[in-house]
Amino acid sequence: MDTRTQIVITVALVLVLVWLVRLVRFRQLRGKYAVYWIGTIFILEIFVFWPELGQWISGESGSVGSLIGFLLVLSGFAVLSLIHVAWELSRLEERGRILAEMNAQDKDSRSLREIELDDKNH
Amino acid sequence: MRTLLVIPAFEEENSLADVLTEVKRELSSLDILVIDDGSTDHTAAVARKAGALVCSLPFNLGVGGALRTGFRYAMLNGYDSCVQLDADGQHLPSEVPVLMAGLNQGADLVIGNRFGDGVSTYKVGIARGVAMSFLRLLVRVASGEKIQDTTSGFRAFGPRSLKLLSSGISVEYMGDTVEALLLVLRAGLIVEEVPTGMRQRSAGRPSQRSFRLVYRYLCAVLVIFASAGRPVQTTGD
Repeated sequence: MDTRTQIVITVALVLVLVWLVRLVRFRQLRGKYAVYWIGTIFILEIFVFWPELGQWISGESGSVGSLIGFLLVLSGFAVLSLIHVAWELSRLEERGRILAEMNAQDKDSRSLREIELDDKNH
Repeated sequence: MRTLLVIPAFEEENSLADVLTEVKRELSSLDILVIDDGSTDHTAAVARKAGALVCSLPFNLGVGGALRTGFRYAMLNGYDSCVQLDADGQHLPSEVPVLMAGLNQGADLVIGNRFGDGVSTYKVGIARGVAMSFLRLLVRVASGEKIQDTTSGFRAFGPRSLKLLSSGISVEYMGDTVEALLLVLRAGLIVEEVPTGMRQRSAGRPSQRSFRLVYRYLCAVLVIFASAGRPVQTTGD
């Protein structure tokens, strides 16, 4: 990887880092997810400055060339990240259902109380 | 001043009854609100049986979320101030008047300092001690104020800090302690520390352990760092 490519990728990663910090600053991203993605940026930077690491992974995994090794690692990471996102979404969906059910029960009990009060008043 | 005692509780059925009995004995004039933070045990039932007001969260929101619920309840129901007390029996209810005296003397936030001279024998492990020193330094750099016990969960909130934190408290790890403290300091409110005692847990389990603690500290430091200098909506009085 030539120096110009390294600089371009590093600038792009720094911009992503600034964006992440900004999201945390305005409470649009939880700290735990920010740490996850900042860690990812850090690892990507390692690959950018030490491409030999990609070659070593290629050798260990039996692939040809550092690019394939790098893509292998990236694919694995993307799959794990997507599974994690799916898990979080499922958890949130379940919580949304619980809240909807509680809201419905609350409305139901309030309606019943209003009917009882109406009956008493008439 | 109308004060609400807020007790966030997560799976504390074994210690809560004793805590509430002691609170009622020592502080008979205060209203007590237990925030059951999504417990799967009988925490809410124990609290109700002891005569406390109970808010049951449908799932665990953490101390920050539970506290915010308590503060909003206080604001909606006309309370002027709140005192936060742990449900594990470590804080001494008999020292709540010490915190409230600080509010009466003009402070907006009074922190029960576990490391105050001559009152507490509270000791922490090496790892936690180093982390606490780092947080102390962080608060000092970020605010210029020297606060000895930045993570104490034994605090009293006056009207201005209550108003600020009922909407502004973060649900991140340490959002209820370090981040809330920085928020109050950045809003120009008055923070005081008073020495208080600290007992060993009477039951239950500590909230954080080793590796998870390090990870959570890392998240908290990132959030505190990122939030530094964020504009604070002042309370206007």
